[in-house]
Amino acid sequence: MTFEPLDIRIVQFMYLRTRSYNASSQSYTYTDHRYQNYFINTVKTYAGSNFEFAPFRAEGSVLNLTGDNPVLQILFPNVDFSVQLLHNGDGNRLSQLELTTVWLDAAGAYTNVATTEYYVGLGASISETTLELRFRSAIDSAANNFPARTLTTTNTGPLPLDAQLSLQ
Amino acid sequence: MADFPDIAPTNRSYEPGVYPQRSYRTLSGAVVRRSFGNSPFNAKLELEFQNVVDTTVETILNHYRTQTAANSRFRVLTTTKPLAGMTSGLANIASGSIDNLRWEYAQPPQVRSTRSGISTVLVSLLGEIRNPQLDD
Repeated sequence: MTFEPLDIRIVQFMYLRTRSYNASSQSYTYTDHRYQNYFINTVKTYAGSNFEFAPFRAEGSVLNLTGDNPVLQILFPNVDFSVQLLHNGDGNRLSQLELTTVWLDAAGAYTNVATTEYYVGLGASISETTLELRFRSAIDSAANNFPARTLTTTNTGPLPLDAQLSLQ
Repeated sequence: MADFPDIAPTNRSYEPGVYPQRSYRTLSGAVVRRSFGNSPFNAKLELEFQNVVDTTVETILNHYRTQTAANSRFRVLTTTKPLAGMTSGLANIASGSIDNLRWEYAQPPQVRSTRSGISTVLVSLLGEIRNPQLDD
């Protein structure tokens, strides 16, 4: 085993799809937001999509084995674009988040080391300086007595956000 | 945004910004360094204006008041007197333009009157990361 350089450079790409209800058309409108948090004031292309710079921070566990849904918080500064993101997205309720973490080399190029996590929006909170978007993973099936069946909305109803499934 | 006034300082000091990095020392003693971004921040520029007339002091103080009241950043242009005497390459670094830094007052200007109508002013500036498209 070789001794790897002890330098860590990590960029996170967040792809957030918010939804808002249009009362007049009685339908949902979806809006895509793509941000990265490493390359200052730069638009970076990853997996064919462009990501603008935004100073966000992701906190929380990314996975566990107990079957409960991991919680993730995305912290933004409380500035106009993040507040608009929140208000136009129905308070981050049931938004869809794809968070990809990519390790970089010394030149800032992407390495092959990357992980992608998927989350569903629970809501948000605002303080005087920060805006916190809260998420849970959609489902984590590694638990005792979990039914060996394919889960669909037909046999479970809408997929829950709190790891409690009721077969119907 | 109003650029810093075109006034020649008597003394000038500059400190480049730091990069957003944090070090963690492992039990073995090896250091792991984590980078959080690719641009420096918190550059420092100190300008001292010795024995200037009151109208010059007023210009500096008015600039401080308008910029700070509006919570607005500004540029120190490479072609103006605060960076006079530098090569263009060095002025690009010291002005923060190469890193898209914008300046703000680290503290209110310090004014010391030396005699009637004549004062010495010390200005301390911080260079911070801003969005160059907004220039706020």
